[in-house]
Amino acid sequence: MPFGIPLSFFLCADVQQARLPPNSTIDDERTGRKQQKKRMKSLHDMLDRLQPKLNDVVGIEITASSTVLARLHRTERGATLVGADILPAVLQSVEDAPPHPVALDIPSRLRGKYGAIAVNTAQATVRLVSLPGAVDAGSEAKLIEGLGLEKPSDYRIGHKVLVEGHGRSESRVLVVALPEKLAASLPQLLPSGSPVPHSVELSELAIMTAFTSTPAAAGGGSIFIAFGETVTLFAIFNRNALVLVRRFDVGTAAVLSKVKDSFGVDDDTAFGILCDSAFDISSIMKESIGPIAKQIVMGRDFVERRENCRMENVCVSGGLAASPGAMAELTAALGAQPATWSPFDALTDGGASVPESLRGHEWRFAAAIGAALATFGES
Amino acid sequence: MEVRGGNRRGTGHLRRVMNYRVDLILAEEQRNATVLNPRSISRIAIMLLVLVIGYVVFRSVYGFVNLQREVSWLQERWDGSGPMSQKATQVRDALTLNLGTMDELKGWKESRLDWHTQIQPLEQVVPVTIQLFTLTMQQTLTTETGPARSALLIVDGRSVGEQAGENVERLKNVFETAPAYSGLVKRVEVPMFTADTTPGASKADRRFRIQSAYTERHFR
Repeated sequence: MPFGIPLSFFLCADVQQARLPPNSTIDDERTGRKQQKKRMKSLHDMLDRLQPKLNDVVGIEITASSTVLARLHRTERGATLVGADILPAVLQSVEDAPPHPVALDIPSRLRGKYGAIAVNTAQATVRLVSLPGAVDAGSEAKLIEGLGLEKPSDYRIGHKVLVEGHGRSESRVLVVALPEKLAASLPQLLPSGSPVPHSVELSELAIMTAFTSTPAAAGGGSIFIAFGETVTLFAIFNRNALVLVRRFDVGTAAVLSKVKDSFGVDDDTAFGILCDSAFDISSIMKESIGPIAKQIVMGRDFVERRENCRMENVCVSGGLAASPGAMAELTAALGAQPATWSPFDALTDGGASVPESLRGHEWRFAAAIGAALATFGES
Repeated sequence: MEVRGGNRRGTGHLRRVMNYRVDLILAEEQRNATVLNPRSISRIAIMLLVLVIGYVVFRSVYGFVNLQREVSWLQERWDGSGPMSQKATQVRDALTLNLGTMDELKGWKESRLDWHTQIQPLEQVVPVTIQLFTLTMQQTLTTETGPARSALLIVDGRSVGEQAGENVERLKNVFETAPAYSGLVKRVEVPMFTADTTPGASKADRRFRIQSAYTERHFR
């Protein structure tokens, strides 16, 4: 495999989505529930007609350090921001979520009818698996195997067929795994009232949805790098279609920690050092960003050759996007100046209603906005 | 792939937007966004049932307690009004008796015949040729058609002269037709009309008796 990038990381267009039963217990439970639901089908059908449309959604990103909320409203002209806020973390530990967590206390102005939850955790796994022919029931084992999980039964696994293969052509499937404990815990954050839990997904994929909703992803090839708190997402789009995605378990927190250790300062000071050019942090950046940049360059070259295209844009989002040192490292590696991307570009009002106190933190709303936009896309 | 509406900044114009969501939520973890869902309906139904049962129990207990209180209150009233009740019973009995007496007296009054109105016209109509000896007024009580009084006026006298018969007949007619007797007298008879045998009487003189029977006068 060239540059050590598995072929299974290449993506194209989506056509359908399905979910895999992680184990037989859940499978049986689902079957029982299905039978019960069948009995109440008529009542459900009747009540489903009363369901409000997916026009008022609050995207909720759960991270280890904060809860990010962005309430979007869909109009005929597009999506607009109703309100946004960053609250303290609701889960003490995303990795060790309780089965019945404390309910999320959402301010009334941010309570949409539906809640689209995105979770940012290093415990999640994202893979693009390529399979020969069409995806069928027999493919499930291969998809699970492609995740490389030690104990798949502990995970809730979902997949989305991006390319449906026919005959000799390959199917490309985006497969996602999230610890079952965490996946079951997240809807419990919205136990009653509005918003009702509508979806649970990974922050990285929600960010990708947000990115493809902006003009930055339009046109030819685009490289998108999102520096999350603990995870860095790297994706390449060609003609607005995702063709490569990678996920690195290094994020802003790790870089910030190194700055703190090197200078012996607190978090705020370390972030200040990261965001200005007063201190020489090039060695730290080379050490932290260098391997990621190298992987990005390899991926870009591979895609350009394979897809016969040229990457015209490099868009960066996240905490490190504000760091001149990080940008310099990326510029040096990619040979192009990265542009800062804002998720509010996906909205018709450009996020005009974002509170002044959150200006400069627009990147933090990428997953929440992406989750809400994905919900609009379902209706 | 889906097609989204255009806008100025974000999705720009009509163009394709990829949705990369791989939804991991289970159907049973989703909730209905409407107030009405099977869960809420069943909850409301249970709450209503509990409320109805509670209301029925409350009404029953409340009614029972109220009845007990009313019974107790009535018992107290009954106990307190015992002597008064006896006295009232006595008064009512006396009243009934007195009312009966009053009714009876009224009956007597109603059935009474004013004799002076029956005798007074005689002095106007009796001719000088007729001499009355006796006036007998008899009254009897009958009960055949309810309590009633029947009266009988008997006039004994002597008619002198050649016209004695005509005079007696004329007197009889008075009893039958005079206004004072109209509607009161039902029958007038002359049971006796004989020659006067008293010393000094002429041959034409006659002794007579007129009986006037009155209609029965009921007590009520």
